[in-house]
Amino acid sequence: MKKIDFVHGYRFRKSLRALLCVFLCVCTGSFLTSCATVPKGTYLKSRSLSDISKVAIVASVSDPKVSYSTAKGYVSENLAPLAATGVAGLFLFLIAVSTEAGIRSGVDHGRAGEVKEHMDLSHLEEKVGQSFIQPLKKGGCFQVAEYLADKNQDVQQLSAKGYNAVVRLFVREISLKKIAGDNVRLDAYVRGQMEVFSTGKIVWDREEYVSSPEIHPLGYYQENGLKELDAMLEKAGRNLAYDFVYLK
Amino acid sequence: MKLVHIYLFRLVAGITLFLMFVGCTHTIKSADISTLQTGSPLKGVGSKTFSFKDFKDIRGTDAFLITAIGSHKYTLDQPVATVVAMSIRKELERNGHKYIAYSTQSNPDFIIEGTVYKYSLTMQSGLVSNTIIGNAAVKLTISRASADREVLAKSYQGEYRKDTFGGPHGVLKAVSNQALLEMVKEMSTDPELIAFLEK
Repeated sequence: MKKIDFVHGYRFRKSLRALLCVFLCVCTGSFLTSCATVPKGTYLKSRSLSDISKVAIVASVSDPKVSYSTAKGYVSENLAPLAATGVAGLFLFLIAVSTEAGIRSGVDHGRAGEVKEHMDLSHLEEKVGQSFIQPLKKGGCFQVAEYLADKNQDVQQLSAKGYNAVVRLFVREISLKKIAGDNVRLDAYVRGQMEVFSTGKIVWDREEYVSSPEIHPLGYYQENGLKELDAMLEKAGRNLAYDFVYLK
Repeated sequence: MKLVHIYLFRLVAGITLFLMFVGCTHTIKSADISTLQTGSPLKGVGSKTFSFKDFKDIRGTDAFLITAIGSHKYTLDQPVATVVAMSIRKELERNGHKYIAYSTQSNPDFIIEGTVYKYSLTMQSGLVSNTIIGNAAVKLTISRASADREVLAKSYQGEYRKDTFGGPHGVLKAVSNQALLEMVKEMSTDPELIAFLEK
């Protein structure tokens, strides 16, 4: 019996050590290597556009994130002053913090939901599409560059209509981030991508990050959110178009 | 467990503990900071000459320091103000403009002065992941070197955020460089600046 226990205990210790070793290896690896890198885009080259004369531009906006994140106020920060308060104090504090956070979060999510209600996604799509197309037309980048409201046309359909390429603009994230106190910043990420039909290649693919120039309380965005977003998307569309207009 | 495995285990544990608790200074090479590859309307402005008169760092910290997280310090190999000026210079040159060293005899089209008021990295620890936030901000005063001495004073800011699940050290460098590039892009695509240069 003792022998069996000993063997069992030995195996248990051995597997525990192996697990610990794996954990330590992962920790070491994460310290020594980069776990996340900055995404690299695919940038335009002048030869990529050599045989393109007619371009379709479509835009889509993903459902905006209304559950805005708190840039400050993570649990680790909230726990910092608690070192000396003892276990009872810790529990009371945690309950208070979570209750307050829950109430505030509920209110804030409700307000953020109202911000979302004011957003007309098709208007935003049109906005980013038009702000992208205007510099292209002004710069005479293509013989024809058209914004298509029907974003669901596939490559065959566009090709049959005489287009050589399609530029897809995705507003992939619109979010509200709490920055300082009750002040919130509106952020948006717009990704631009160009597919050339003759080769089937993506010759341009990069992202533009835009944010509201100033931070405001969440209530401000209930009234002015769309106006702020319009200006941001206009800037993003314009900056993306500069890749074509000022191509080397 | 073989003796060699025990030694290996101790070595891995030792390295991990060393990296976790022993502080060190991480230096980011300014030569590694790339240039933008995006289109800029600065290119549409006819070629101009420019000089940098003075670039100050008013952050109130060590001139080389970006941030200190715990016992780890992150610094640049050159003063922050120099690196910011260098990035702006690279962007102007990339778009066809020419840099002239400042002197009383030099006769550039524009004289640029800068005040770096933010250049930092912060880490927000979550329950599962960390968010690394890089910030860079400069106030530029651009004077036309003609008789009217017209001046444009404007601030440009760049921010970059990245979520990471492991240790942040590898990511910090990339985030810091990207925040600087975002700031340069803000300047490079500013319609007000373009209009001022074209005037």
